Amino acid sequence: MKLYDYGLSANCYAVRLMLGFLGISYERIPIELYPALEHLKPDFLKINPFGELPVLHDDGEAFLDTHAILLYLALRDSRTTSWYPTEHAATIGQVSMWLAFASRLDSSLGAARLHDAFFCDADVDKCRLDAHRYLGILDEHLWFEEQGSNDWLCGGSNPTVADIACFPHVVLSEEGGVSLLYYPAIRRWTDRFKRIPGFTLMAGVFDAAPLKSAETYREPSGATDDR
Amino acid sequence: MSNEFCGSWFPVIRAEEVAYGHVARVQLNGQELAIWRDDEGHINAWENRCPHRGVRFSLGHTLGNELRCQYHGWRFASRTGQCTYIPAQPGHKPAQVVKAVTYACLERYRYVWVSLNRTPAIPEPTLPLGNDGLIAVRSLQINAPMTHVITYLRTLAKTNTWGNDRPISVIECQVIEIPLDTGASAADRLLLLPQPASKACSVIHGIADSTVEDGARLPFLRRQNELFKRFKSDIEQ
Repeated sequence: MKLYDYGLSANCYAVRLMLGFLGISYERIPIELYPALEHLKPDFLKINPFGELPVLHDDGEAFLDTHAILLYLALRDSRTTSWYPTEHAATIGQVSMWLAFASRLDSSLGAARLHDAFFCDADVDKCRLDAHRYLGILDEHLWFEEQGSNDWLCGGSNPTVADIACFPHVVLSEEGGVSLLYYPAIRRWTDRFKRIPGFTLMAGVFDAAPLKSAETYREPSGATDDR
Repeated sequence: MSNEFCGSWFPVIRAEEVAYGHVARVQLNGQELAIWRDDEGHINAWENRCPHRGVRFSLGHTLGNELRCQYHGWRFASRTGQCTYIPAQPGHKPAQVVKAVTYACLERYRYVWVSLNRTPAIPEPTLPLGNDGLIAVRSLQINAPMTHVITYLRTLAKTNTWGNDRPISVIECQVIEIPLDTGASAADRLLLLPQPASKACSVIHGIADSTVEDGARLPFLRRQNELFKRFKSDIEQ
């Protein structure tokens, strides 16, 4: 398996995270986005005519889009995977919805970060404004999921490809000048995400504290009905 | 009832949202704070800035009764903020002056309250509430200074454009009470507690004193959330 990869790309990070969670080993082919702009050179355009990263080659097939790669990897070795649960139509609908949401994050948070870090063209004020609107929606969703004792985007007890697709844009948001200060439920979700076994880091992302104390914590007496 | 705490103590985050192993990040009167809970359940409110190189503590790790900065691994003790360990000088006890800036904080009425006022004589926050049966609703950030938020809520109280027979009232300088239609009891009410985050930004918190059955809890929280969103949209208009 070959991954055409740039270390500082949020979308490439999503695929590396997925490969890490699944424990799949792969060959990494670095393509320098900045400053070399290798993704726009004729050699790479033969690999992906869209001039975008990441690209995955496996078993004679080529996959050109982050979400396509995530779905392919999720179902590659097992048709019953918690990363892309296919038993219920409603779950597939939810996962698709939050994958589409990840695309919105890509074109707002992601674009603001590419503007600030790699001088890409963007209407950065509009990107940040959109990003805050989307983060407000995400924080509200995650807050109510927490109230229902759900840790992840699509209900259930496990993270899905939708969590993976959203995570890199959210965790790198400060690099695009978008603060997570007023999104406390999102910050808690990023901590939970970082504790998934197999989690891998990239530049600018830190791991979460070990959770050994969590099981022993009890609300003070009289405060238990607010869970 | 004493309202001397007004202007000093503010709720900054729902207590249950300060989970073990997590460092929450809030802002009060322009001061960014790292809020974290030690292994004994004690809450800390520190300036969100390592005294060594200024990196945010909210990027760091809680380790039982210490917080470790992500940058150089300096560790600081719960409660005092005293630096306990510097990895680059493992044999040396850090000097007493190396400390995180700590602020007074306490857990009450389902919230973490912080006072930036370093005078110890300020009375602790007291509201006409018991500690039982309270529900902390979802807090919401509003892009407006706290004075605007209070003016808006007071106008609601004065004009009573609430669509409800029972009046909205101002029960403290910074606490507004609104009646709730849960149908459970005439005493049901929601106390609104605005928090000044910065010059341009506030957070509105709410404590419901109400009997809500378990099954009705989530719809109840959703209704209050819609109410806060209406406030936000009105105020930011």
